[in-house]
Amino acid sequence: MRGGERSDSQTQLRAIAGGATAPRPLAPARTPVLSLERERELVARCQAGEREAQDELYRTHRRLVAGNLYRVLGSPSELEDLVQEVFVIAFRGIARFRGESRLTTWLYRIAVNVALQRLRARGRRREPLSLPTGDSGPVPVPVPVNEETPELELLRRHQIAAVYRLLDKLSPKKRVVLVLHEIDGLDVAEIAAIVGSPQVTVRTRLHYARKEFYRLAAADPDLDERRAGRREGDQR
Amino acid sequence: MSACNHKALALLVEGHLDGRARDATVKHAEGCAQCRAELRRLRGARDAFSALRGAEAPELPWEKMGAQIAWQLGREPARPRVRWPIWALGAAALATAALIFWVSRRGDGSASVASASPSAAPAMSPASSPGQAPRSPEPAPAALAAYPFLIEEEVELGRAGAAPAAVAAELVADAPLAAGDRVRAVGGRVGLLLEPGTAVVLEPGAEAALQSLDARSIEIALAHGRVTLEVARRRPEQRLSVLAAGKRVTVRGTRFAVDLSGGTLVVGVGHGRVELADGGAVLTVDGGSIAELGEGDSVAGARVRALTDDERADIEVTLPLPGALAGAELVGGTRLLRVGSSQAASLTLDGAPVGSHQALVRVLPGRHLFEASAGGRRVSRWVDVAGETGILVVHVPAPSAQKTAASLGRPQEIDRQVRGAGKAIKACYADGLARRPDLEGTVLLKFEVSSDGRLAPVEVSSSTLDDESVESCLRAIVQKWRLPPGEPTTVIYPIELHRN
Repeated sequence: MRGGERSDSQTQLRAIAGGATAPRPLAPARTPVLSLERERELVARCQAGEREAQDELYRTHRRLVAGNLYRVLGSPSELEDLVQEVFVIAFRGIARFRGESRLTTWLYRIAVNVALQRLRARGRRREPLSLPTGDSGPVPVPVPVNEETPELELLRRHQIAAVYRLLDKLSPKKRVVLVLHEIDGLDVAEIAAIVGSPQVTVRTRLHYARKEFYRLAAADPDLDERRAGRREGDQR
Repeated sequence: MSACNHKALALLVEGHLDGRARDATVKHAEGCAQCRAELRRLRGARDAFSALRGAEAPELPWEKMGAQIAWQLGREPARPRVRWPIWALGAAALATAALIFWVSRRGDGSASVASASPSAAPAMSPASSPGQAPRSPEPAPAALAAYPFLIEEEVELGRAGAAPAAVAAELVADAPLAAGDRVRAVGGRVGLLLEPGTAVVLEPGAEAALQSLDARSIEIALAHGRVTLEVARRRPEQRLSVLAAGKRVTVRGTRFAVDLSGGTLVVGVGHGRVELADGGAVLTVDGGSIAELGEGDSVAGARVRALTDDERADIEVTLPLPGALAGAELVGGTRLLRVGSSQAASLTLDGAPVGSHQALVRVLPGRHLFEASAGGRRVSRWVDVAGETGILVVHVPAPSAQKTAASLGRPQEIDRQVRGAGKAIKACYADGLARRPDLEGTVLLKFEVSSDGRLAPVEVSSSTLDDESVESCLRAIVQKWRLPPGEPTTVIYPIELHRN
């Protein structure tokens, strides 16, 4: 038994070490929805107060905004409200958008600020964690797609729920930079543009966020692949 | 290994360990069950991150959300100085459809710009002379009703020409007004929806009678005070007038407002055009102009000048109109929402101002943004008005932490505590400066003080310092404070840190 475990662990270790250099896939959320030319034309029409242009901007970017909020907050609750809030802020402030960044970056920035406000409000109200333990019905966390098996999907759900429980323990600012980097795949320069802080600040904050997160993660048995597998069996 | 090296394990999982460091960590982990367990957890976290990269938000009611966004935007305060030229260039129809008209009595009017001129418009028919209801030709036009959609404070109502008397706002809001009824706005504004998109708002203190209210003619006789009107596009045969001080103000567009107080009549037009008439002359007042008549002046003697920015802003204030509904559809398709703040504040609903303390507003079902601003602070609440909802009461405090603390006599004690903690605060800052020599900024600490003077966990409300360590250090200092007993209070205290 012990030898089997050790052999399995060695396999895992090699897998970790060997897969370490694999490039991280580009986050789909980062990709601009429209061409630059089309984007500028749409923004100009929105700035002129054209309602049809606002509708088009909303239609083309609503999933991007919702996805960002969803991944940062880790919960679908209030997503409807927050997406609306982002677009209301965006349309009210579109006259000030000068095209110095891509429209997606600008919308990301608004969405992140809205998410930060929500996280701070959540902290002030000392709300219970938004993610249940998984013992009472489906776990409302961002659901990965294209999982190979139901067992693997269930395992992933437990791990993701655990990740968001840990993210809830970080400060909102640390949480945002960590999510933008680790999940949305943005680099430091992109994150700095979105959160409106110097790159050095973002780098420092990201460093401490990762340090704190991994310290918590190392101590969280819910993230353990084997334990998660046993929990699945325990529950069923 | 007595304790695992978390940092090395994390670096290994992230692929940031190379060469000997990587080999050493792998080798150690092979012989350490605890490290292997931690590695599995770290890898689980990394796998979760990877899985989340493709995660999209669940399906949402996109169309409904889009409609609500558009609706909110359509009702936010107009920004004519930004959009005016574009609107004017973009749609002549819009220009004709948007008419804002304002009449007030003032004592110090001075004419400088005569952008209005005696009109070549047809003179009034004898049937529509000032102060008189027009003669109704056969067949009799359909009677209309006016539906209150906004009552900010109190309202007085007099049926069928009787003198206004106080009536509960809820009762008035559910009772349509008919021709002959008189209304007085007490303390705040009262808004009446006359037709879809057509409304009159009585400003505080204004009193008016619905002299005529049918499909052909709407006449509002203003006794005193100021009214503001927004008028939807009307057919040529539809007349909408305000009668004031023996004059008739007739609207030729979609929105207008009337105000009467004192001995001077002032007519201001934001955009569009109105006609000001007495028995003998007709004056057309164009958008951006204001016409003033002293007590007893005829229309021919009106002084006309350009609107000031403030006057234009007053005219163009957004009304919280409940969509394009009217009549029975308005009652059936909307709900009453009472909003208020626990202290004087500037209240807005979906961007439209709704008073300073409380208001009863008729709104469409759905999500509404209520905001209260006071003392530089703004509190926002989303309010869900469901189909079955009758009246929702939302009390939003207008927090002013320092002011609240001042009212309890605690600020001196807070200042004393800050002075006493000067060395400790400087030590926190010195630690930060050692790491970041350019560190400076302001940290807003927020804490609740209980009745016995104890502090709830201190939070960083906002910070321009951007240094978690110093912020945490400051929080720890403040957390130790004990303040005098008193009413439970929320305090926001700024601590500014500058190198010099």
